[in-house]
Amino acid sequence: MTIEKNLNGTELNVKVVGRLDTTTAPELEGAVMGSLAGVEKLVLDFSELEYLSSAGLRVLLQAQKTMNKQGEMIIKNVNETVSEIFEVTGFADILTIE
Amino acid sequence: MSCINLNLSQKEIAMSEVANSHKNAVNTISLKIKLPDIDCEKASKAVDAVLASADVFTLTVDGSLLDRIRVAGAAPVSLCEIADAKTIEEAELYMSHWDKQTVDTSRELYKAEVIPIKEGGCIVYVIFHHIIIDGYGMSLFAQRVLDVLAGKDIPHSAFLSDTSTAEESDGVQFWQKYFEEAEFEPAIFAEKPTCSEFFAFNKAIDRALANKIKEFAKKENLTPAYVMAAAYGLYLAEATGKKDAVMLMPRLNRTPDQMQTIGCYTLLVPVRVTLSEKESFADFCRRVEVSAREASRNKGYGYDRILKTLRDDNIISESLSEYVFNFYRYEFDTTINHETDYSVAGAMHNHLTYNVFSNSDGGFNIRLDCREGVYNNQRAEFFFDSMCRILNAGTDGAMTRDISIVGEDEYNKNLSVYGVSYDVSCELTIPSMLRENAAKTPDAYALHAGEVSLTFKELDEVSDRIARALVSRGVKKGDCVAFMLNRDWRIIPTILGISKSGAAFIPVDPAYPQDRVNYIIENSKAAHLISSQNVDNADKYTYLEIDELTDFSDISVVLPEIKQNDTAYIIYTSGTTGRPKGVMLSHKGIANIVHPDNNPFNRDITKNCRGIVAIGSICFDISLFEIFVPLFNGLFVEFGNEKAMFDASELARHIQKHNADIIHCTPSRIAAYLSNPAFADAIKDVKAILAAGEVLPGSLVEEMQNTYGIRMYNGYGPTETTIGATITEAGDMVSIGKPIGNMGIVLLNNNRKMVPFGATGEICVHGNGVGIGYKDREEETASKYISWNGLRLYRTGDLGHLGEDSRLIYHGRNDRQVKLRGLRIELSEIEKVMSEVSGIALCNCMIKKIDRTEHLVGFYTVAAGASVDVQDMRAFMKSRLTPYMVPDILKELPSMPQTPGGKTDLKALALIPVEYSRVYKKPISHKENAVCSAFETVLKMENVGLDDNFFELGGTSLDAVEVILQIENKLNLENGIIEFGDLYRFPTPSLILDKIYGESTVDDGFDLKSLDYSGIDAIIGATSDNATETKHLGNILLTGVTGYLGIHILIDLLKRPDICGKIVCLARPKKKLMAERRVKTNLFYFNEEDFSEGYGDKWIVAEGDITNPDIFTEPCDVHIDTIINSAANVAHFAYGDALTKNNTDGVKNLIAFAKNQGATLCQVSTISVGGCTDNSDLNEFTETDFYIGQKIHNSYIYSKYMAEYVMLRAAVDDGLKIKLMRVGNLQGRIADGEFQMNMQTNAFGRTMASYIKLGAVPQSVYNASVNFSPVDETAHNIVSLTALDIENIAFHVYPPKEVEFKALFDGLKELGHNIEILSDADFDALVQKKKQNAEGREQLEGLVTAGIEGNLLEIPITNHVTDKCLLQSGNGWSEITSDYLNKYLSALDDLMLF
Repeated sequence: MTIEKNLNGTELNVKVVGRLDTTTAPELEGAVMGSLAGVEKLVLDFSELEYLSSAGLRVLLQAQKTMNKQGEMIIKNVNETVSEIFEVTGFADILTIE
Repeated sequence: MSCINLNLSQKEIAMSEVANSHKNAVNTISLKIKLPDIDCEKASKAVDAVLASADVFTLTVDGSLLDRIRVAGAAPVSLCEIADAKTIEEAELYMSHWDKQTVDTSRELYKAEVIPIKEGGCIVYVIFHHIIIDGYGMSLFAQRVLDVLAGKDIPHSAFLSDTSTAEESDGVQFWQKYFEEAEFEPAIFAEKPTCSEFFAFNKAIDRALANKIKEFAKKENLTPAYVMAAAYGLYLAEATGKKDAVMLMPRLNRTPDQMQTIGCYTLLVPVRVTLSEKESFADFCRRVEVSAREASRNKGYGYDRILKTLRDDNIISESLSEYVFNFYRYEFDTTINHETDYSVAGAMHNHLTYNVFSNSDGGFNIRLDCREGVYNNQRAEFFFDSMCRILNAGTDGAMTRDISIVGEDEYNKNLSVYGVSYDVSCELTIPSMLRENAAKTPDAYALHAGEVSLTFKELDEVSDRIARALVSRGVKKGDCVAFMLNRDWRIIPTILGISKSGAAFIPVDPAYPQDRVNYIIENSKAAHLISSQNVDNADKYTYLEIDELTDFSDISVVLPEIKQNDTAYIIYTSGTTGRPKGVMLSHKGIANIVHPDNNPFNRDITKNCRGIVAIGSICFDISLFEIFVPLFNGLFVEFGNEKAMFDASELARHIQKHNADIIHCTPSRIAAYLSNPAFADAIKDVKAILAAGEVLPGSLVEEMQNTYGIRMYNGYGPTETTIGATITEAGDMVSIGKPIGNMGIVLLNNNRKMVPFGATGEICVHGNGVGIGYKDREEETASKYISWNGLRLYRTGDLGHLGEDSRLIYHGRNDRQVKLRGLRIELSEIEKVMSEVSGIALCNCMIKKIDRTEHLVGFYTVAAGASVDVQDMRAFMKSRLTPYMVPDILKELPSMPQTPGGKTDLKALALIPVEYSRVYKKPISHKENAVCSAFETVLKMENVGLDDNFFELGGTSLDAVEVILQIENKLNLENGIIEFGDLYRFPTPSLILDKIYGESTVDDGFDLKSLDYSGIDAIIGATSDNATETKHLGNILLTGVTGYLGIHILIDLLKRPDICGKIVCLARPKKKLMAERRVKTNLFYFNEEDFSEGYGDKWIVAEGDITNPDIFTEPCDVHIDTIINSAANVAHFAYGDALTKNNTDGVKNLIAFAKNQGATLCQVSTISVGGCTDNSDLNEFTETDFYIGQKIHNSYIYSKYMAEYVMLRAAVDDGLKIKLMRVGNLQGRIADGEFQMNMQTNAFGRTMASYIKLGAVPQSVYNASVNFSPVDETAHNIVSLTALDIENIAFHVYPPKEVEFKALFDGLKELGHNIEILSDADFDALVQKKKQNAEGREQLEGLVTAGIEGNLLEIPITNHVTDKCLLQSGNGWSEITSDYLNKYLSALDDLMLF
């Protein structure tokens, strides 16, 4: 998994490439959670996210939890596989997916 | 020895064999090489050499399972045998027998023989299972046998196992586009084959025609194959009368390096052919070629998936096409004297396969493989002639639209559908026939009407007076005279009198609106209107008083001479739009139809009867039949009064008055009248009934024949052909009979081409009765009365087909094909099925638009003494029709509304309100107003009536909470009186009011007690806890694999590879995600591994859905030994049939599948089926229990209960092996404490969330405990229990030790949630308070959906048996640790965020 981060004022764009699972989730957690100070809009670009496991989803929840307090979190370019997971878990209704 | 991968072609063959296994599918194809100069030893060695050269002959099947094809060794499985010597004839017989036998796959996939021929030489005969070879492969085989015989070397033929994984993802789009707006019929003939037998019809195309075809092809730069295919396509389109036709063509799916491989690579491809106007046959051929090539390029999508796509899009319902086209061009490179022949029909499931063999000598041999039951020899012969005719005309340069598609013999056979022929003297007219009878039997009674009776002589005299009076008032030949009279004796002399005056009579009903009467008089330019002072409304018109005419005494007035072709009468029939149209008929038709030999009815009554009761409305021409036929044959007419037309008792009096023994009555009326005792008594002496006008139900014919000894005749015919066209013999219940005398029928398609004998077409009538036309409507006359091949035809607009015996089978109106929500529906087809429901007297279907939505409505009446259960009727119709053809609404009527002519009055029927509609039933009482206004407020709409269905008005489950609270508030009810689930069971205001205030205060929930439990207790009660032996599960079908439990069962199975064989996961594709990808995605999510490595060998995903009767929607040829069904719709409240469909009907489908495969069916159920009770004696629900008197109110639990029920029934009745796995409250994994389930749909999670939001919990809950079933252990235990060697048993799969709520709430406290423990009463009070506003209601949501009904108690569940079984087999449950619970609670906490 690779992470591309781009901070533009108060908007943090994060692109996740590859698989988000137990091994890679801590990496994302570190990369995102440590950079949220002052961020009002967190945009996660999932266009190249292949697979998502429950460990990965937990990181998203955590980020959402933080962003609820300081702004908004948007997930964009969700492919069919990841979108299936959001539906199976019921998070499709909870997360802001564009 | 490993299994080979099947290529797509082989998969489809395997799938087709599985799918058709119940039809005794034959998958044999064979090769015959006649070698007159070769001895059998030599031939046999040559065959052995070829067998040894090709890998396919080393393949064998493991058991009878086509997916387990494996390489048995390096050598061929068997070698060529030498059979007993036979004569050529014996050999042919022998081979045609074996061509139809199934290859015994448990032994081998082919069988090679050499048959020594007594006349000299031998025949090489090789039978193959189609899965190892295709037609092209057989030709390679033959060539190599010839090569070996010629001493040549042959190459080794390696069987290339399919390695292509190409997924044609845009196949869907291609095939959707390819069939866009296609209009075709899959079959020409309505007969359904009853068996899989077929026969072959062989004939060579005439040499001259063969040369023409080749020259044409050369000149037009076409191949002969496409010329042949185009002729076939043209035939199919015209024979079905559609613009399109579809034929199936097997296409080679070989890569260049596979071209020399003996193997099977053929794919079936549907080819759409579209006729267009003004096109030459050559251009048509070119378009067929383009279409075929286009289709062929997309063959890789697979035929089964094409079918599925087209079914999903409602382009087809079942079959796509019954017609296959094969073109063989095998030119063998040899000098050896030989003759080859192929049989490929063994693999056929269609009606007709048209094989063209292009011979090396330049000719074409045709072999038709014909399905028994649809084709017979004559039909095959006709088809062959059709092909020749089309090819002849086409290659001559004809335009496609000008080519007739039936050959000469068939044309003549169609034209022979003609009634008896007899001479009708051209002197005969209505007046002449009356005079003749008056001369023959002057004193016999001709007419009885009320108190008046007239002899023939008197009738002749009265009608003469009327005629003279009219002539004296200026009426001339060719005029029209209308009459509008009450139904009394004067009508008949009036008709006859007008006729004698030389004018045409026009009947007018006094009940017609003035506007219509004026129009008729104006349009017909009637010289006069005859009426009488006693006729209502007569004073609105200028008329001649009938009494003055009958009194006319001047006998010096000379009456004109009437000719047979003069217009005798004009009948005004309702035009489909606007104004009525006047149908003009001549004396010729009447003279023809009254002939004693005209039809069976006439023959019967003129020999056996005295007189008829005439009750037909005089404005319909059938009244002329019931009057003229008896009258002109010396019988009397008892002319019924107004009342007798509609009243059974009055009709009975008429019958008895002068002992009439014939009646004419529509089937609708007879069926209705039979319940009247006086009528039933009166008809004892009746001998014949003419039941014309509508389709005659077979049940009625039987009843009349058996109970009363009455012969019933069914007539058919439009007014335009002089009353009748066909008539049935007494007792014919299937057809509407054969043409009457001097009349014929031809069936034409929309292009006015004759359809093949037996195909459906528009009924067109020719002969003496065809009328003159429509009065002053030239255009309409020209379009309906046509000149066709020298015949004058009337096009009826009705559809029918001819049976084998040339009887006409009626299909209904051409225009009764309607579209409902975009789907084509043939109403008459639905009615036919509906009429087969036992007890149905009459029925009619129509589309009704209700609130912008169209619904299919079926109306019916019930036969006297019978009763019809709507549910049974629906079930029957569902079993016979595609789902969208089953009416939304089935409504019983006390009687069918009828037109004055006695036909079903469709217009009146359309006006009958149906329940489905939002017929506004106004609320009256205060309570009714309160409930309706609650609906209105919540649904934001006006005028909600008492019978309006909440969910059909668009109510959602959230709205349901809202509306319940509104109702409770408006009616000052204690909150909680209306349970959440009530609205689903009582969805209308009136039903919910009944529920609240109804007499019965006991609500027993769903009806469980009237089910048939016989034998069930014996099975489930015998559950034993001594099972310790395990068994191999074999191949598993696992459903519900994208669900939380299902995926964990899969994970468990994959982690224990030795417990089972191959795992087939059933899943649906969703949006763009293929089923396989969906399952892998879920596996990764839950398990971080998608087990791709074992995919294909250990496990596969097959597309399908348990709600689909066939389960699979793509080929899956794995034989299944064990089914684990974890698919379920878990919505605890749903309106409509979603729950039943998934949870109960889905299981029914699985039962059928399990029976077919001989598999054990293991069902994941719920311990909630234990239900509730108000009876404290019911204190335990164990594994040996099923129905113990529990009550179930929740539709979800009911659907799971019914699933168990249908399984237990199948176990008792059919010996199905079953296991029930009742599970509890599924929660996160115990192994790693992962709680990934969907908290949104987890009922327990939602309840807990409600307590958190409310910040309170009732004491009783706080003190209680709840079972926590970790999903991974539940899955593991289910698999282990499934593997126990014991059948027909239930297990309660949850940990025996429950978790105390106290521990949960204490844990929540630590997470910062302060939850107060309230007394139950205080908690209730809090709930009531919260209900008052929207925010509070939202907090309560989790409690509402989990609410236990009223004062009922849940019956405690125990699981001793399961526990013991798990222990003995070394399984069990881990302890729920506080760490696990904390993880659960923090997952719950996360949910609270949102």
